[in-house]
Amino acid sequence: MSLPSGLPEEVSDDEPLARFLTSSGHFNSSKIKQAAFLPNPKDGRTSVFRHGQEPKASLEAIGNRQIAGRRVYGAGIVKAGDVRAVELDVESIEPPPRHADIINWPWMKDDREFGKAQRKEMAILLAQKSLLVQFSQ
Amino acid sequence: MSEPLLTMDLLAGYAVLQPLRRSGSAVSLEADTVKQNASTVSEHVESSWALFGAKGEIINKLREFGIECSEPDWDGYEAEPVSERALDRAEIFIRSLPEGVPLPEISVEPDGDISIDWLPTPTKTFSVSIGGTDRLAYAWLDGTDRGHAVARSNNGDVPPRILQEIQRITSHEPAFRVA
Repeated sequence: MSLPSGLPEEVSDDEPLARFLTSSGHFNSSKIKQAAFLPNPKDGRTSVFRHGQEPKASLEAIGNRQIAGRRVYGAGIVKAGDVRAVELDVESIEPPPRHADIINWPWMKDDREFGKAQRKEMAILLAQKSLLVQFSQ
Repeated sequence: MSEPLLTMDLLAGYAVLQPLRRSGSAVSLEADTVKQNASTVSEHVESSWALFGAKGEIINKLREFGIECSEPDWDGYEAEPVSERALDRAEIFIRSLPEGVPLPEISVEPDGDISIDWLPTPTKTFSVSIGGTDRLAYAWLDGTDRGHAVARSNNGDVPPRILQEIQRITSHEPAFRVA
């Protein structure tokens, strides 16, 4: 089954996912930090786009369009298979076109900090597997 | 409100030590001892200044992020604003790091916690989150070894367990943990 973007509903393991970087503290000159991948506290999901590092102009255009009003420094590119390897999952959610969420982050109602520690470990693994793509200023 | 990193007393004391470090006309065992002690103290002060200077830069960066991330949705993904309490605790934590521990990097997490990170190599990471309470969530990657836990901080200082992990991750020892 195809989505409005033309992409299949199911996100395959080898698909690259782009997490746009909107804070200068979420990466350094060579690496992405775990904070970049942590989920939105309101819905427990991490918003990504189904796009690889190339073509870079297309990637940058999506980032600037979807995160309007903020500087988009670049993107962290991670494979859907690497997301599933740390026991998370990827769910396509359109609109907007090519949008997906990283889901199944653990939350512990009775111990906020322990649930946070679990998520941090997963985010560290995603950050380690990801490729940093920096956009022009 | 943060304290000044250097005081006039420290500066005045340092200034007094400088003539004592230089060679003088005194030729006694006591004079040599005074000169050596003055040099040792001065070197320690200079090392501390370098440390405070570097820590000062990190604390400045922390405060900059505090301003950048003070509004809801500061990241475009509906992040929560960082709290003043988290900023204050993070500053205490950074100041409490002992000499010899490599200085960390700072970031803000979507729930408003401050993340303090060490990333010494592509396969080593240690990250601790500081929020409004004294319970600190942390996680690490050390080669194929990885994990997560929570430690309690005493008034914002660095818990011994966390300090031990930071020192292990940032050491040059190979990644191996006894079960």
